[in-house]
Amino acid sequence: MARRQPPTEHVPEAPTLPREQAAPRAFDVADLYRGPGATAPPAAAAVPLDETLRQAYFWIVNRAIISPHYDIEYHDGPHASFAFGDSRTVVDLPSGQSYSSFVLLPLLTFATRRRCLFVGGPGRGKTASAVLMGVLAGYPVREVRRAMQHGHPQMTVADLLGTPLPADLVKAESAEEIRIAWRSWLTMRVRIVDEYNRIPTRTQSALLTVMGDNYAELFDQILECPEAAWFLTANDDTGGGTYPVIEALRDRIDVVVQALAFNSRFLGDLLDRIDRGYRPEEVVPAQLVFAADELDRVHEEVLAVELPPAVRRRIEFFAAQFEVLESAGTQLEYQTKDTARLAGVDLHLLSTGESGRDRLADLGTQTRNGLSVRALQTLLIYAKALAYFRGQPAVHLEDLRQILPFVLHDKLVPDLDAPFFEAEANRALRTDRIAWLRRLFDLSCAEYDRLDLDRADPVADLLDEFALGLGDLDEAGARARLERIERTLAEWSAGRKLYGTLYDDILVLKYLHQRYTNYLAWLRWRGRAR
Amino acid sequence: MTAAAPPVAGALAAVLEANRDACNARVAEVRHDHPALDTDHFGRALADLVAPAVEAVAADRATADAVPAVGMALFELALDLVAGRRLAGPVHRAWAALLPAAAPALARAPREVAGSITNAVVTLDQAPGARPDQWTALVADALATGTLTDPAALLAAGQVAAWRAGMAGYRPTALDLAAALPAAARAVLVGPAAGAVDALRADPWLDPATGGRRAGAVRVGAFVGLGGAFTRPPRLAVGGGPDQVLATDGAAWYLVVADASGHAIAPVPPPADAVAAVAAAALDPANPPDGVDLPAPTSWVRVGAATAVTSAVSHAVTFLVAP
Repeated sequence: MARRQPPTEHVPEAPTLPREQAAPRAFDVADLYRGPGATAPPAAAAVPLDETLRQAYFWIVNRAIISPHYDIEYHDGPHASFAFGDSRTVVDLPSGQSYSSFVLLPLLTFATRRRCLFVGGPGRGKTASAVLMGVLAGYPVREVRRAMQHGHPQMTVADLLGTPLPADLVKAESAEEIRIAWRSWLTMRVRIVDEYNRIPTRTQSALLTVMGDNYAELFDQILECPEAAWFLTANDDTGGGTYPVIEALRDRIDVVVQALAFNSRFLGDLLDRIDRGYRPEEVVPAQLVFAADELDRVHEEVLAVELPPAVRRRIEFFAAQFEVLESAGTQLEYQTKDTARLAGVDLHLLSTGESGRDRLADLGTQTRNGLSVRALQTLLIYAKALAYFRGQPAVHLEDLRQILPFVLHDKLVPDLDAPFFEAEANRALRTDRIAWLRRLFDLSCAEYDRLDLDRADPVADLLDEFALGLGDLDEAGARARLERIERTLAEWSAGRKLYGTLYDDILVLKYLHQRYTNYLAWLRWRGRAR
Repeated sequence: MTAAAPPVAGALAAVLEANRDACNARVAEVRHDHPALDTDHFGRALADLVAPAVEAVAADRATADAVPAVGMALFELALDLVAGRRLAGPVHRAWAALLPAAAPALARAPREVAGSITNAVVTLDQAPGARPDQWTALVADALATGTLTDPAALLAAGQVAAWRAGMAGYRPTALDLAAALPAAARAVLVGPAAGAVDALRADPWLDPATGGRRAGAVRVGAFVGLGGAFTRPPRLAVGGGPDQVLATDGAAWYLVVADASGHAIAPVPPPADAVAAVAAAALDPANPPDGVDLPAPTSWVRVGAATAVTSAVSHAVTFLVAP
């Protein structure tokens, strides 16, 4: 698609992430025409796509959305901190480039073609932000607004997807002959559903199919939809809309972003916009608009960002904390919170019988569920997207720490009756889910460091050994490895409590034991056959 | 108190009318970034500078179709420059003198032509010893020949004019560009003689304006506290290249170039063997070369027809040009 050319445009030429450059030539006649005057249509400049993404971020932050909140904090060296109020809330002044989640998360969603939910009270810019994303995808403002789906209690599947042609309904002798007038929004690369929690349950199911599987179905007719970024809004995240949001639909949402309160110091800016009729979405610079092929490339470049093994191990360690519930079953594999949930039994009823574990130190007690594969996939993709946005070839631990709370916001449900939340210092974390999730990750990392797992991780060693393949392994070698596994398990069974991380490691060792046992059986069979 | 802007009429008025919402939004956007934006100044710039240029584009049937594009490009650029307080002085004079005259090129590439003219004047205005108004006059004369209707040719002529207006460092490239210019424009910029470009290549001290050699002493550089580059009296070094000399003040290295049009200094990395390079240019004060009569001379390098010399009591490099 050709780049849209809005009537006005201006994006600063200064790089968003300044880096050292090679020394220029001493005398270059081309320098004559470098200066404050823009000399070329902005679209002509070859700007890397990650730089365009950052330019879009800064344009939105500086010109489109009045957002003084920098809640995604990066530090580059020492920084100043101050404490305020009775709670001694610490305010850090970031020494690195920091970001506003309300702008950054939608942009990362746009870049990765995932699904973002805006939550917060009415009139806080949720819809305006979503519309901006549509404009960044190259659609005229009017088209974005018309294509936006407004949830309401009478919304039908036909309202959402389309209608069969009346003539075909009369003449058709089979469902295949009925043509459908599909709604145009289904084929757009940015799809916006406003107040999705006001949509009736049946229509939510139709929405789930489009959102989850990228196709729409009516009268046996299928419309394949292109990959798209989704932006949904809800005034109340906790299901307080007209209809409860079905769990599967909620689970498809990748990140949740809260529209923070308006800072009254910026009322002057608001007044200026009113006085001058300034509508940012109508003046989005052309060079910030992504063509379809550019969006595809951004997605590919995001996926190409490396996730180093050391960072991956932190995710593994964190994710392992939450699923285990020893009293939910008798066989290890079924000792999970999901087993209790499927049985419809209250977690607390089961956990009262548990003893031995430190319920304050055990991070698993803070949640009512574990992490799904989908949640982990989303976490990996957004961590890569954040690193890409920051111009890095690989994900850093801090990227993971910053993005994790927004991804797991709706995925990891806190158990508000857990002892952790009873502590005076942690009471506010009952309501501040972003801070709670970040604290959870910090605690997990602290435990990881305490166990010194970067240097001494017997399970990782065994997995690495196994990953090398079994081709050259003889019977004695296989036996030695089996013995090592059994010895490790014996040591653990002697004293260690069944925390989540241990639970996963035991299952991994059982898996390896089984693979080596089968290999050993095959070796014996082969020996006999010869 | 500034005078109120006069109303804009003619072709530009029609362009603004057709794009009223977008123009208003753009002004509001710039005002958001520059709360002190002087809208009266902007209005005057539209009336005095942009409108005549758009009118000139509209007056020619061959370029009239470009009026909306030219009008909006100049509106945008003028707004940004007024917001940055740059549409004044030499830039203002260059817009007034050149944009209407450059209408054919402007119609083909409005943003590139107007932006480049602006940047050229700003660059010259910031370069020590360069003469932006001379550049404007030279380009205006070249435009008057009617041969610079192509944006590329106009910009090439501008680069040649920049050398003439004091940007001595551009000389080799400017002369290459001059050779490819339309004959009438070339005659304005480097002289009407048939072999003018070759003659200028051969002798940096040949003055295109007079056709004669500019002889005498030319001082280049000054103490850093007085706006120059050198923290201490500089020393020359060998290895600067044709028509250029290397100099160092002990803290940094510079390429120094001078010719009949002007002079320039640019920081460069030190040479591979800096000590030897400086030693090779050292001068015996008791036995200076012929013609070197500076007090306390310290180093010298012969550069074509000139001799570059430094002194222990001066923060300049002096080029002694033989008649």
